[in-house]
This record gives sequence, C-alpha cells and structure tokens, in this order.
Amino acid sequence: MPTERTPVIIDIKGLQVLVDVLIEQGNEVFGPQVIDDVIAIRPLTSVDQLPAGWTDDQGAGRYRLHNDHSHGRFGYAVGPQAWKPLLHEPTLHTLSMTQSHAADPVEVHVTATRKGRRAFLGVRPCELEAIVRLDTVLLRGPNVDRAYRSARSDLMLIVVNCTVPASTCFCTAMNTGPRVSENVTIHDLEITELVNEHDGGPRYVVTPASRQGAEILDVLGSRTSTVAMTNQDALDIEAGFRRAESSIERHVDTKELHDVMIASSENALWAELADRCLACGNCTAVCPTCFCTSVNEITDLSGTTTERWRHWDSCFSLEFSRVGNAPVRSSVASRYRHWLTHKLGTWHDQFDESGCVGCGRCITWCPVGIDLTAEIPALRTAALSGGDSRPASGDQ
Amino acid sequence: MRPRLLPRPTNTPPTLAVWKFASCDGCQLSLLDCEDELIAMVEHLSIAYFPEASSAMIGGPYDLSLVEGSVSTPHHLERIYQIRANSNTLVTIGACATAGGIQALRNGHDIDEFMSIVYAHPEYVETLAAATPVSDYVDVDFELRGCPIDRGQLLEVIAAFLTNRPPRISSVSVCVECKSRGLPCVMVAGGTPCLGPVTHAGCGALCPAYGRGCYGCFGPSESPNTDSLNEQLADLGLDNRQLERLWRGFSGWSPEFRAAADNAHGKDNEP
Repeated sequence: MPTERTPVIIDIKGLQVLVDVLIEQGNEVFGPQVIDDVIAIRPLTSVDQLPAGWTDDQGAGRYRLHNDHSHGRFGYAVGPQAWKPLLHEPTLHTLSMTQSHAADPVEVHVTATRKGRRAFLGVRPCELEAIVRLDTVLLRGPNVDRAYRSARSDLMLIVVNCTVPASTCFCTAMNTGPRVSENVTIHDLEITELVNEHDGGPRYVVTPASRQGAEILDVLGSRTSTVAMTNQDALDIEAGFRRAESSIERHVDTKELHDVMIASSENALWAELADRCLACGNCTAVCPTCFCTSVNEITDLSGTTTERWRHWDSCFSLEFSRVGNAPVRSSVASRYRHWLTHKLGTWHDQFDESGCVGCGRCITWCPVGIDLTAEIPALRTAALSGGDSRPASGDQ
Repeated sequence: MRPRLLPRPTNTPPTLAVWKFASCDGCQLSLLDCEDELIAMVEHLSIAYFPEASSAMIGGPYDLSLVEGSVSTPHHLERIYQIRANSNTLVTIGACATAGGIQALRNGHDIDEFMSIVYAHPEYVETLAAATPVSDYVDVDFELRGCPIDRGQLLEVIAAFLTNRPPRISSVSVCVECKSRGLPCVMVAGGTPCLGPVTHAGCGALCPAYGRGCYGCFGPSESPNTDSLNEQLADLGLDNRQLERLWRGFSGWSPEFRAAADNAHGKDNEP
C-alpha cells in the first residue's frame, strides 16, 4: 500500500498516455468497447476505442445501448460479461495423456498456463469485488487453481468508479459500489470520470491504490500534464456518487439474508420460479462470481491419447448435479434453489462473504427476465413467519 | 451406448455401416467431412457398408450402424428392423433420424391430399402417413442430434464406441455455447426471437454468432421450458402463427417442440 494516496487529474490525452505507459511496460491492456451492440471487454491500445457517449438501458431480460453524445467514455454500467472469461476461461485444455502401447508408461503433458503482463482498464467496483471473491475461492482455499493463479499474476487492475448505474444494479445493497470500497486492496489505480458538458472533454481523477499504481502515476506525471484536485472537484465527485447512489432502483435487504435462504428450502416460490426458469444457464455464465467447472476427458479414435478439457458448468445443468449414476437435483426448482441459496446464503458459510456483488447481470441477461431482487422479499416474509406464507397461485 | 453381442470374427477392426432413410444426406456428408480423421478412422473401423462413399458393400452383421433419415415408407419399416437385427450398436444421426426432420411437417395432416397435389400419379407412391424418428420402431443405442450433425460430436461418438465408453455429448442449452464463445445474447440485446435457451447444444451457437436467433436444429435441451419461452417470445411481439412456425422447424416433431407449437396453434384458434 502506498503511504500517499494523493489523486491527480488528467484529461483524455493523459488517459491515452496512461494506456501508452502500460503498453510500454509490457502489458496487454484490456478495456470496454462497443462490440455487436453491447459493451464488451477487448484488447485496447487507444482511448478512441472506449465507448464515447454510449450508455446502456438495462431491464429484466433487456439490454440496449444508445449514444447520448455526452463526452464521457465510461457513462454506462456493466456489459454482458465481467472480466471472468479473462481470468477463468470458459474452456481450458489442461493436459493430455498418451500411451502408445499397453506396456508403455503413460506420458502426461500438463498444458502450460498463460504468461504475460496484462492491465484491465475500466474494472467497475462491483467487478473488483467479484475478483476478490474469485481470489478467495480459487487462490485461498486448500486447492489453488493454477490457471487462475497464472491469470491473476502480473495483472494491473485499474478501477473506474461507476457514475451511471443501470436500473438492474443493486450494488448499494451489497455494499460493492458505486465507488470502490476502502476495504478492497487488490487494485492498483482508482479512476473517477468527471464529465462537465459545458467545458470540453472528460477529466479523470486518478488515485494510486498500490505501490505499482503509485509508480505508474509517477511515470504519468513525467509524461503528461497533471493537475491537483481542487475542492470544487472533490465536491463534484461526491455529488456524482450521490447521484449514482440515488439513481439505483433495485434493493436487496441483506439483513440475516443467510438465515432467510437457509429457512427457505421448502418455499413454494422455487416451484413458481421453475415455471419461468428456462434452465439455460445464462445467469451463471454472466455472473462474475460463479466459478464452477466440469472436467471432461476425450479419447481419440485410436484410444492412445486422452485430452483433458475443463469448461464452465452451471447449477442449472442436469448433468452437473449428477452424483454417481443419477442427478441429485433433477427438478429445475431444486437447481434454482441450489444456485440462489449458495449465492446469497451458504457462500457465507464457505467463504465468509456474499457470493453476490449486486451487478444485476443475472437480471438483465435472463432471457425471461427473472429478477432475484423481486423474489427475495417473498422468501424473507415466509422465513420470518416461520413457514411458507406465500399465497396459493392465482390469489394475487 | 451398450454394445450388443452378435458374433463377429475376432482380430479384425469393428465394422461400420452407414444407412440412409428419408433425409438429405447432409449428415452422412459430415462423416466424409472428417477429412483429417478419415485415415485414422479406417485404421480402427472397417467401413463395410457406406453407399454414399463406396460401391464396395460387405454384408452384415455390423458392429456399428449409423442411421440417417426418418422412417417414411413401408419399405423403410422393413429395412429398419433388418438393420437393427444386423447391428451390434445402432446410432441415429441427425434431426430426421432422431426427431422426424422437416418432412415431419406432413404428420397429422391428410397425406392423400398432399399426394394428390404434389404427384401426377399418387397411386405409384407408397408412403406412411407420418415421417417419424427411428426410435419409434427399434431400440436406439445413442441419438446424435443436429441438422446437420456436428462432425466433432460424430467423431466423439465413434471414439466412444471404439473405446467402449459413454459419448460425452452435453445436453445443455445453446446459451451455454453462446456464452462460452463470448457472444452477446441476440434476444436480450437485440430483441431477436431465439430458441437457444431450450435447444440442445452441439452447433457451437452457429446462428447467434451471425446475429440470428437459434432455429432449434438440435432439438430440445435436457430441461426445455417451452411454455415460458413462448410467453417471452410473445412479449417480443411474435403472434401465435409466428410462434407456431418457429417451433415447427427441423426438430419440430420432437415431443417438446411439437407441444410448444400445438400450444401456440391452439391459442391462435381460440375464439
């Protein structure tokens, strides 16, 4: 941690210098861009690739981008995917085994993990919190995930605070945004975009959050003009966060949520959700903290070589619930319950934190728009009354 | 797949037969399309009967039969029982063999009326009233979906047969493949009707990769909630006729998609 956390302000040219410096130091830089009508994370070399003026309109099962011609480059919430695919790849070749003849020893070739420095520019506070959770699961447990460990090393995390939340966001309820929490220490730089439509381009308040971040900022100061933050800037930033917070529409009451989830196992709501749920797996794929995988071994035609592949799996996959010769969660209701109970309840038991960071992706990218924030109050009411107090269907 | 125990000469590679019923041959072509693997395949399998590829035909019994096409004529019926009796392992390939195919659109309608319109001499045509999947008549050891099948999945089924293990063919939704490729959802982000959430994976999300909705070629996924998707598609603006057409595609005769189409059709006919 740096001893000094003095922020400096740069303009859009300064942001380009930051990208240039990161690249000169050997980083492959990734950042948000408009690709196929969504904000996607892609390799980035120029700030011109950032989504200038774009903003997102999100709802349950609905996502649209439109350009309001504002000067901002970060005037949207979160796109369909967080940084998870770069850290925890959807499909991964892990090893191959060869045995040419039955008498020969089996040769095992473990696939090399990825190497090289990377910088993620534009990580949202909720997304940073999601990386904290993936770190807990994949690095801090008894079994370290070697692919994840490689992906996480030599990585600069540059947070851009959220000033334009979407209607699906509920980070304030989960205490994960819209501004990065002081309790999070895994990032290197914290940036807040200041957009004043009357006086030209956007400005960026850059605060170091690690020694490496402070060093980058030193180099940046020698390469571009930086100005100190004024009292007015500080007031503008605070006003921006208050605007962002007050614009958040969705809320989850997290008080004793763990106990509510545990008490809800027999709630009739799960069956009602299963009537709507497609069991398609979109929610777990877009969730920035869902980490489950399955491993397959594929033999070739000769039977002498086996390739081992790992791929994302999901609570909603029937096969994923197979233990021995039969699925243990054969109904969609039980699979939905398992997902949400783990995310909001038993995750606390396992990892001492919530599995949900309030990014709202599971709401937006559910093809039928199932909204967990709308379902939790019913679970809470039933749990507090000591049973299922939901009205029978048709009574509403 | 459970290999049966018909006698065959030992110390020879297992024999392969490829059969065609009512179909377009596209799935058989997927086998010929395995160019890089064909040499390895003939080292481990003896191609005994494959008229699409070779005029040299060897009699049965066969260790592995791949059956393409739906059962559509009385002659087909005779043949499929013979093939079953002559095959250790029988795998059906493609939407026609596993779900009836696009020709199943005729099912449930007046076949004589169709014939009188299409053929100058319908009296020469011998056909069954319905085009149906092979599994309606004989035991099938494994059904490989798709229109056409995916060659990677076909190789997996053959490799699994050769090493006597279950094929690893996932029955999750097309959405899983879409998300795995990092494709944006055409339905959520574009309002495009898509059957992906209830359709069996295997194509690699081919249509969404080009901005199109899924046509359901691979048939229903393991837990298809077609009622819920119908409601969402109606919210996107599809009327009941459009919904019915969407379901009645290449796998439209699968029980799940048929029920979804019938529901839409029924609603359309409500007073």
